[in-house]
Formats: sequence, structure tokens, C-alpha cells
Amino acid sequence: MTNDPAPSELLQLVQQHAGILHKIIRLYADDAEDRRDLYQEMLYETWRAYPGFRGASAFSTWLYRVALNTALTFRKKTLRKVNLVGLDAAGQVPGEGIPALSPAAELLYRAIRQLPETDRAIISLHLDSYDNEEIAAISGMTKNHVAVKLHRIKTELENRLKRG
Amino acid sequence: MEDIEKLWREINMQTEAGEQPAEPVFMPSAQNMFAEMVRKVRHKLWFIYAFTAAFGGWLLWNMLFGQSRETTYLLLAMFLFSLVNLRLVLPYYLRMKKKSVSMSGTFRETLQFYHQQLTTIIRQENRMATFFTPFSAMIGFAYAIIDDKGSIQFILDRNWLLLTMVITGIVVGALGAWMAVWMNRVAFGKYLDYLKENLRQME
Repeated sequence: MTNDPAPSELLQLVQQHAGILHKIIRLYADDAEDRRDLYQEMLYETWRAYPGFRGASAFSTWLYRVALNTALTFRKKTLRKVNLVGLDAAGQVPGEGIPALSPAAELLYRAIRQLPETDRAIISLHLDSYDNEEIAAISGMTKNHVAVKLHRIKTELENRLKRG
Repeated sequence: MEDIEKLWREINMQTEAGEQPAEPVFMPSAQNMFAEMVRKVRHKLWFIYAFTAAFGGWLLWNMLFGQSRETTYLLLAMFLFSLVNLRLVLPYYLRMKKKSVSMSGTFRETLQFYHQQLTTIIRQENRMATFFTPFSAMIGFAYAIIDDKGSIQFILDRNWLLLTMVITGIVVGALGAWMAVWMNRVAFGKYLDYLKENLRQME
């Protein structure tokens, strides 16, 4: 599948912005095996889509978009758990090395993970300082719709955090 | 909300601190549902290519050396069926292969693309099973009679045989259609529901 080697600048850019991938993976994947598969899919889709990257937006924005699209459409073909024994030997699991979060941050992460999948994408973009117009351009929704959605999501999150 | 933003900053910092530089490997995972669908369609295409080539070759041989014009017509019908099958599946397969184009599009475009491609290919498969299986079964039946008795007239002269041929077509067609719908539902139903749900959330 990988006939063309990934350009070295892509390797560098991905390594520079790997935090985006890890953050999204933790929002969408449940266990170590899922995280590993999703990470690999994200890298693969990035490599496939990269020739179409024209620099119209920042690389981080473009990567965010590809990673979220991958997370929103990625489903495993089976629910079978296979060969869990060799996982450690196969290398680092994405997101595994991240230090433990404070209880409040952990609570926020859990609350976001309980949201519907497209809402997770929208709130993570918002919290990473993308404005409503940018979120609308990335999601394909109208700016007004994004504003309404964000209002609902924030209320929902605040309620969940209050409830603990 | 300020609290949430502060907590998110903490998450960002922790994520960056925890990253361990690793060489990225640009390969698909073996578990992707959509890739599985593309693989499945590709295998189906190989079958259709093989059938088209087989019926084309058989038809040619029959036209050059065969004795029965009726057999030639039946083989021609099967060859045309294979070509129609190919026409139904090939454009969608080629579009599915280009999926990375839409990966850098908007969420809505990407979800719609996946949903539409899967729905269309499943619909075509179900249609093929419904319309072509009974005809193929009846043609096979007629071919066997022609091979044995020399002419299709043998069937046309006997109503019970004609009825048997039609019933064979209906039963095989119904079974084929039911199997196609059931197998696609088992294999891809949950994934389609998931895509539909994500699209619904964006409304």
C-alpha cells in the first residue's frame, strides 16, 4: 500500500503536531488496541491526503480536519480481540505515555467523551481556539448552527461537571 | 466555561508532555470497516471479470464451432448480464478507492461520502441479486434442457416444464435477494447506522 515513501517534510510535520492526533485519539478510542488502530489510520489518511494539501490553512488545522474525519468514520470490521499478548512488544500505544490528568481535567475528558461524536469534534475545535467560522468551514455546518450547537454542548458539559 | 478552558489547557500540556517521539508508520490498520468494504467489492469485481471472460470465451467458441443457435443466444444473454453487472459495480468501486480526497473535506462531506458510497454499493448488490439471479437460474435451466434435448422448444411445448423453470427463477431469485440483504445487513448494517447517526447529529 505504501509504494511512495512519506515525504520527509510530512514526517517532520506529523511529529511536530502529534499532540493533535493523541488528543483526538483519547477522545474517540476506548482501549489500547483501538488507540493503536486509530493512530495508524490517521497517519495513513494523512499520508494519502497530503498531496492535496495546498497550504491554504495552517498544517495543524488541516491535520486536525483529517484526524477528526478519520475518527468520525473509522470503525473496526470486527469486535474480536486478537493477540493482546504482543502489544507491548509492538511498540508504544498512542496516548499511553501521557501523564495522569488532575481529577478535574479527567472529569472534563470523561464528560466530553460522553458527548455524541460530532459534538466531541466541535467542542475540541472550540477549546483549541478555533472560532465559529473556522469550525463551520471544517464541519460543513453553518456558523449559526455551530453557535447554537456550542451553546448546547457547553451547557451540557457544565451540567455534567457540576454533577461530578 | 473559563474552568473548562483552563482544564483543556491542562489536557493539552499533559498530552504534549507525554508524547514520546516515534517514527510514524504510514500504513492502514487491518481493521478498517470501509477498507474491508472496498476489499469485498474488489473481490466481487474479480469474480465478475472472470465470469465475463468465461462467458465471452464460451460465446465466441460457440459462435465459431457450436451447432446450436439457441445456446449461442443463451450465452450471449449471460455475457450481457456479466457486462451489466460490471457496469453496476465498477464506477462505485473506483469512487470508493479515491476516498482520501474527501478525508480533507468537511465532516459533513466525509460522512455523506461514506454513507452514500456504502448505501449505493449495497443497493446495487441487492438489485443484482434480485434481478439477475432469477434470470441466470432460468437461463441455466434452459441451457441444461437444450444440451440434453436439443432445443428450447422442448420447454415451450410443456407448460409444466415452463412453470418449473419460472418457479426455479422465482425461488432462486427470492433466496438470492434475501441472502444479499441479510449478509450486507450483518456485515455493514451497524456501520451504516453509525454513519447515519453522526449525520443526524449534524442536523
